[in-house]
Amino acid sequence: MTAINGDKLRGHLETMVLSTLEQGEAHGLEILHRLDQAGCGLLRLKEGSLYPALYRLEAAGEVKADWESEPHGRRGARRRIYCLTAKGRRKLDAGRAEWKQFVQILGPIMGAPA
Amino acid sequence: MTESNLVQLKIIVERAVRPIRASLACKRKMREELLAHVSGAFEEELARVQDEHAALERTRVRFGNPTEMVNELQDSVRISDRVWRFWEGRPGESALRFALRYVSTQAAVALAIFGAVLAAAGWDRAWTHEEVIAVCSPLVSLLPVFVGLTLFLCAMEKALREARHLTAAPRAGWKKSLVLAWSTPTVRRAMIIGGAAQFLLFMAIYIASNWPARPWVKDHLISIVDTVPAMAFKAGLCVFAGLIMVWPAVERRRHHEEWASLPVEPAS
Repeated sequence: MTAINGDKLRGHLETMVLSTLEQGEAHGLEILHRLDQAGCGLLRLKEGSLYPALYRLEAAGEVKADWESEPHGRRGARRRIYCLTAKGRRKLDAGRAEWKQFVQILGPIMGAPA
Repeated sequence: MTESNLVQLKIIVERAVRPIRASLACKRKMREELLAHVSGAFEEELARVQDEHAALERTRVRFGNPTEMVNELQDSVRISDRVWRFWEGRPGESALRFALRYVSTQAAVALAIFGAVLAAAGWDRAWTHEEVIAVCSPLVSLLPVFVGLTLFLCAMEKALREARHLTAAPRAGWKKSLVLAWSTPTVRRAMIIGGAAQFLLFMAIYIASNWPARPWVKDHLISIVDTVPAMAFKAGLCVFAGLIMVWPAVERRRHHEEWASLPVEPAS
């Protein structure tokens, strides 16, 4: 199977992040590991682009972030731990419904119904 | 991790964060979180390839193109962050210029409120001269308080920035910080002069707002003396509040200066 790069993920990244946070709170690197694991190592996401998405979700109140209390062996740099909010769960449900509709409509057009 | 690797990781982060128009607090958050990320990624790569140069290069590739990151990070900055940017001032701006800019904005806001009050006064029925003065005088008297506070905060910031040993070290609790601040001559001077100026300002406002027909009678003079402890307490609170407000701002500015000194070529 060929890898899926960041351009193809555009527009879906926020829903994917919310979906990983459904498994429990996580910092940025852990979110990427979860995405990588779920995508069987075929997602090619530029790691830096995760953070603007997280900041947008945080500004919208869909995730909540807290600094970890102690730096984790990183010489002063602390990580932020993200968790899903009730608003984020609603956004995730809406995102999933939207994705199903997207696949249902585009699948027959592409000659590959879901 | 060696100091040299840490600097290289900071440079990766700084190329994406430096061009962003955001408050120092916002940039600090981004820098710290992204540094934690690239440090984690570097450790993973180092464990994989066992070569520091190769691990750094792979971390850089994993992180992505900083130019694209700049635009995305800029879009993620909240509109409310502009208020913080205004409050923090511009990098390299002198304390006096900051104070003048801040005070002129306060004066503009006060005048706008003043205008709105006057317009409201004439809307329903014409207010008497005394009613208008009663409503507007607190606004007018607050302005010199804000001016005084702003000048005091600027002086305090200058003193704290000079006392590098206070704000460059990790914070040691408020009690210890306060004792350390008091034991530093420049900061102590700013606290004493600022506190005395605030006290005189409060006393002047009290005396002006309670000006009697016969100002030199004994009772009036006694009432002025009676207010001295309360006004001194208020001035002391102002000094304490000023220190609490300014300390984190100085820390943020110092953090920003440290990152701004990194040799970062413009992102292509």
